[in-house]
Amino acid sequence: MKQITKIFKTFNFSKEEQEQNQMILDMVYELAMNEIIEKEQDWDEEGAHFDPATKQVSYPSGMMDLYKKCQENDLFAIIVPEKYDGFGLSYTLWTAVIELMARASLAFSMFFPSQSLSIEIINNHGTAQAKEKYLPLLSSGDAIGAMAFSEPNAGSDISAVTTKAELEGNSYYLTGNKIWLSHGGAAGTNIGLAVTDKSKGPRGLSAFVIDPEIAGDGYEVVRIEEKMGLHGSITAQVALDRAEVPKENLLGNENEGLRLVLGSLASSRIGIAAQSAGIAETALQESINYANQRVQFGRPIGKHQAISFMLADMATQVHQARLLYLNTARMKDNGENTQIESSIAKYYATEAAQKVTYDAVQIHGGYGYSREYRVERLFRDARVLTIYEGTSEMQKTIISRGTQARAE
Amino acid sequence: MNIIVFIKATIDRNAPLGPDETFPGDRDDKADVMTNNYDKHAIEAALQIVEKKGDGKVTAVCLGSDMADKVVKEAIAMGCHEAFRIENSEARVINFFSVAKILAAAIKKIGTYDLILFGMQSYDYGTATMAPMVSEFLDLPTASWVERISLNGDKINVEKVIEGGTRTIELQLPAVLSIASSGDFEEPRYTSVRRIMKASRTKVPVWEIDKLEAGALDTNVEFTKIEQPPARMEECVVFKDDDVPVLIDNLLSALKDKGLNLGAYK
Ligand SMILES: Cc1cc2nc3c(=O)[nH]c(=O)nc-3n(C[C@H](O)[C@H](O)[C@H](O)COP(=O)(O)OP(=O)(O)OC[C@H]3O[C@@H](n4cnc5c(N)ncnc54)[C@H](O)[C@@H]3O)c2cc1C
Repeated sequence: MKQITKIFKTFNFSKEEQEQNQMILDMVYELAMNEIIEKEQDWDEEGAHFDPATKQVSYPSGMMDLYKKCQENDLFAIIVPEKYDGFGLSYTLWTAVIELMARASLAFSMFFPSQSLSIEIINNHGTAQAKEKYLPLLSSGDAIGAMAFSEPNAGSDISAVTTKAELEGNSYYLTGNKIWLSHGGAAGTNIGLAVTDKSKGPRGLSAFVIDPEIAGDGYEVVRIEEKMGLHGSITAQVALDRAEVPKENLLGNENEGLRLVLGSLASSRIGIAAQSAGIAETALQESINYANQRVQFGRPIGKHQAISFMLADMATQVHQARLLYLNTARMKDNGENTQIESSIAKYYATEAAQKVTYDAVQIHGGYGYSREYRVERLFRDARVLTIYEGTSEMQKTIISRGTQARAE
Repeated sequence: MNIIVFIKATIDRNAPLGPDETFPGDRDDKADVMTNNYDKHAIEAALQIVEKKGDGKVTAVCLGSDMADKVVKEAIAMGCHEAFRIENSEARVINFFSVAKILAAAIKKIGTYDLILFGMQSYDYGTATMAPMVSEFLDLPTASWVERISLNGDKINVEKVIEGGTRTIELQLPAVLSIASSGDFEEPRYTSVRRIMKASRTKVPVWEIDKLEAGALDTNVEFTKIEQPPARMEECVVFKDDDVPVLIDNLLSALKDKGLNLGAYK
């Protein structure tokens, strides 16, 4: 916590804001480190559930109780504008909350980045009716926000989506298959991307708020993924079969959905960088504790230079990851375009999380390979970070193109 | 129902000890402070009582330096209706006897109250003496380590922890209680963003010790030294016998020989 606080002090927050930030982070730290972390192993073992008979999904035992505590403590309202029952606080604070949650459980922290992305997209591009309806629900957490972009043949290249949206009367009807949907089936809002004008290719896509309550049977979970890590988080495949989306749930203009979505991902990438700093911080702390206590060749292994230097590298990478995400978030608060910086933060921090969790297993030796030790889970969980929200390769593409264009 | 809760700013439990330090209490006012964790249970008790009753007010009071403003604001962020601090800069008064006198004087100045709550002890010195001392100065009934409270007109029934169980007693209001960290108030509520926003906009009123009519603050308690108890070596004894009743008998008589009070066991 001290590390985050020290960095916050370098930012241009007023005294009152500093105090608010500190109190909120103290509360989140307590919730994360006293309660959420306690459950993390159970959630990994139990995993999320899908009942093929009823098509219902559910989170592992106890996860929703803690989600409820986040609701009671108003956490989802942090960045929501005051007009929509939020507090209009900074994205910097929000991302620090994500880091603390990810320190306790990456699976649990999955509730946060997609919530803020939903809030931001609807607030920036939603119709007045959509804002009135969904922002208060997302702010209270009564609606979980999800992203329905990926499809079997549209991953890194989301312009390749084939789900089609047909306008009939006052509603669009969406048909297609969405995969990898975090919170799919549990979410109250799904930001979806679909084809509205096939002849225009990538310029013929539109973004929508898919509301499962309105879509009814048209929105159905087909299965959930069995994953390497992140077991506690629902990752669903969803079939859309003439899923109704009222016209007022169109985001931005028709056929401008791709730009809208790609532009918004810069924000959520800062959140993924924050998740990475969080999981890496825990891997570092676990490693320090273990290295001080495990004795080989007559002294704690942390006193052997090879291990102590590993710890130094880990600490350096965690610090860099944290500086990157917090600094980028602050830039965003200042109204800057952070397209390139967000990708740099996401790329660096997620790769650092790979190295740090890998080394954490190494420091634990054979015990690190055992399910009894937390680092085994951290290593599996962290692996997804360089993949979702744009792979490292895609981030490098953005960074390279962006910096070259900037130079011209 | 008007409830006064006393809260203490103790050193941040996460702050590491310095190389020459054996005890975190020595550093009050020097490093980061946090709310004494036991006091949060008292706040929880107060809020639960007022919520159940449907009317009333919880006032949190802290004797401390301006660093303790943070603690006062946390009380508001947990849901206390009012809070203030009694200025004690540079730790002017630290002996417990005088602190109790000041708190009793503050209660008198507040005037209307039905219940006065404390945590069961402080995280730093851990003397657990404040509630009984204050009750004595105010001549009010008291119970310590209270796990459960039920209102009963102008009286309350409380369950308090005693060795090996609980005891239920009835007290006339107003009364002074120290709240246990177990029982109904085991899980103090979190602060929330909404209440934090309110707390951060609240200006913490500050009272002066000199205006409280606490009487002479000299003391007949002298605080001389804090030491770690010396490490003891104990030998490990393993009892072995195939006959379990015999084994138990051997174990119990060995404990009895060591001077342990085994109650009914002869
Ligand atoms: C746990 C989890 C949760 C997810 N949650 C969501 C969600 O909520 N919503 C959602 O819409 N999606 C979600 N995703 C999907 C995720 O965003 C995609 O998996 C990711 O974008 C990569 O797409 P892909 O899997 O199809 O891989 P591909 O795009 O097929 O990539 C395979 C490999 O090829 C590389 N590659 C592809 N194109 C290029 C290129 N042009 N240049 C260089 N290399 C390239 C990639 O970097 C990668 O290494 C989730 C995924 C996972 C694993």
